[in-house]
Amino acid sequence: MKILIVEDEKNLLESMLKYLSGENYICEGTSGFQLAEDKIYVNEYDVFIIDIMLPDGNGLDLVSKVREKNSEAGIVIISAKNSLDDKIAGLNSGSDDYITKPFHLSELNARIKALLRRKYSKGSKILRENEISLDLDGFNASVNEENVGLTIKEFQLLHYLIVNKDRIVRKQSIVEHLWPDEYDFHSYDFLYTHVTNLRKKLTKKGCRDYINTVYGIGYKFSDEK
Amino acid sequence: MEAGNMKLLRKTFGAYILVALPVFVISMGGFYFFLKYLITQQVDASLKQDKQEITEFVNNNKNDVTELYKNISCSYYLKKIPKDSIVFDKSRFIAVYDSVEQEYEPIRELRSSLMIKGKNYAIILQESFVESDSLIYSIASFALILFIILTLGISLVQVFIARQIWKPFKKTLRKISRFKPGLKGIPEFEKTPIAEFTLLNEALSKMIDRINTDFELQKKFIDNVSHELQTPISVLSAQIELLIQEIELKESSAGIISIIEETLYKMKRVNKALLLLSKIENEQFLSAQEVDLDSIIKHFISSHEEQFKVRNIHIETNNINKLSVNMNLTLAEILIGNLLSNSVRHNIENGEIKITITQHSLYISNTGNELATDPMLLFNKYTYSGNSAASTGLGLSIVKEICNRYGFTVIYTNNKNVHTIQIDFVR
Repeated sequence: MKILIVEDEKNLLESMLKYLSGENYICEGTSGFQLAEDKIYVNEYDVFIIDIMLPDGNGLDLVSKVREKNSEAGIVIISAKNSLDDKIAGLNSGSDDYITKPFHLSELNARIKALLRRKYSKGSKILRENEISLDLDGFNASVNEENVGLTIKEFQLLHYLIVNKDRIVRKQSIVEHLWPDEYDFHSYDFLYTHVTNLRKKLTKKGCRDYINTVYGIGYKFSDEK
Repeated sequence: MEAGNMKLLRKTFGAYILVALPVFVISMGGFYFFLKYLITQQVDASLKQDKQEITEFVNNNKNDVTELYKNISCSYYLKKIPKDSIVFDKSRFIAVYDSVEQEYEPIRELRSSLMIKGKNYAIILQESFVESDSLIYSIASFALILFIILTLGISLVQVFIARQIWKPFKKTLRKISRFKPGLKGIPEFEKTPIAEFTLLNEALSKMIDRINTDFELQKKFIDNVSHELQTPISVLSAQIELLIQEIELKESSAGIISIIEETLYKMKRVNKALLLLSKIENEQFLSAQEVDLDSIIKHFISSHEEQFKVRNIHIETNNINKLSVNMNLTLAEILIGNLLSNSVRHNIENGEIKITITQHSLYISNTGNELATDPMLLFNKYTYSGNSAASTGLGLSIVKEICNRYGFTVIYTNNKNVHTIQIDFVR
């Protein structure tokens, strides 16, 4: 999979490249409209991540250019404005997903994976991870083909940890992923309870305990001990 | 407004009375004495004329006193006095007791001397001053009536003129009292023929322009700052996320990173809240529809069950009636979300939240600790409330801003450790 990231803030571009490279994608980055335009014409990419606000042009125009050339490619736009208008304009221009700054890299990663699955693995709605399999349409998780009986939030939590496998996923990132409205509840204790319940349910079905707690920071799904 | 105007009138009228009354009293006194002086002169002149007549009669006829009494019949009497004593003409007031009226009456008399047939007499001529006195009184009372009529007339004219003159002022006042910074429609003042009001209107127009410019600048500033901060916050957040992945985390460094994370998270939240506030102010939530607040509340509660459960907070939703409000859906969700998350955040372990919806109002009360700050300050923009680590202190400002936009009323009350926020949706 080949990804092009267009982001004028170099540091942010670097960190996106770094994070996504760990997923065995071939990642390229560029910081300006012109450079991005050239790359779009010369090379082929499967996914584009495009910041709307570029110093030398509007990212939405890039989206149209990508669409002209390759109607199949996945496009995620990044906006600093969390406004509905931008979102609608972005989705109308032909992008597949929309993410607002500041975002978690784990969230971006999950979005790209979802996008890739939608675009390129047609038919398969099952995500397998060792003895766990997730039915992404039915929100069902099974261990060794046996239904675990997770709630929707628990399922989403497990899914989010699995797509960010071997990475530490921060608590804030999980909370924002599970409750996108992001109200300020002052405490992450409920997340801890959630993870504990999830863990219990999985191990009860004979699943290995893949979820590691990283003290004070978050959780990590990993099959190495 | 009416009362204020009357106050001004009363003030000017008071000043008028303050000057007019002493002037009137003094001039009335002066007038009285002047009038009395004039009448006295006149009476004296007539007494002298009588005396002249008597003298002439005596000189021409050389009659004796009896003859004189017979012929001249004005009020006088004669008194014998020693030969060598001479009385010069002398006028004075005397009081004579009137047995009929049973009171003293003023009399003007003239004393003089007269030789009749070689005998020396003092002649005393008298004229009653009663009529003259009453004339003075009637003139004086007429002047008083005149003064009262004049005063009434002047005040009537003043009220009338004031009504007319203050009309443009009232219009201006009405316009500026309706003015709100940032609201569309800068008040246009009508032209008035009165120079002072023209100046006032000009000064107000300038001031309003300045207020609007400042307000716009402030809005833009907040908007720009929060937008500009988005990128550095994103960079910071991404870098920390990478850092977390890279190093083998020792517990101590995990602690440090967790603090950085928490602080960063708060920064993100404050920034988001500021962006939201400026968006509401910039009226970026224009669309409106009938929104069922009761279903928004129910949805919020069911989707945030975990957050309530973890602190064992009991929610009482017995009295949730249907409440439909015409407003923007996103803002309605933000309003409810902020109120409810607020009531969880400031709640205590095993606490309680009670939600009641009446026909036009929403009540959300929660148990909690006593408030350290002035409750009204909580609603002010950019007032930082409390020390809770994840609180931005902007939640209630957002609530207030949304309510302001739609003309809803927000009321905060607390009874011991139960805090209630009431929102009236009647516009």
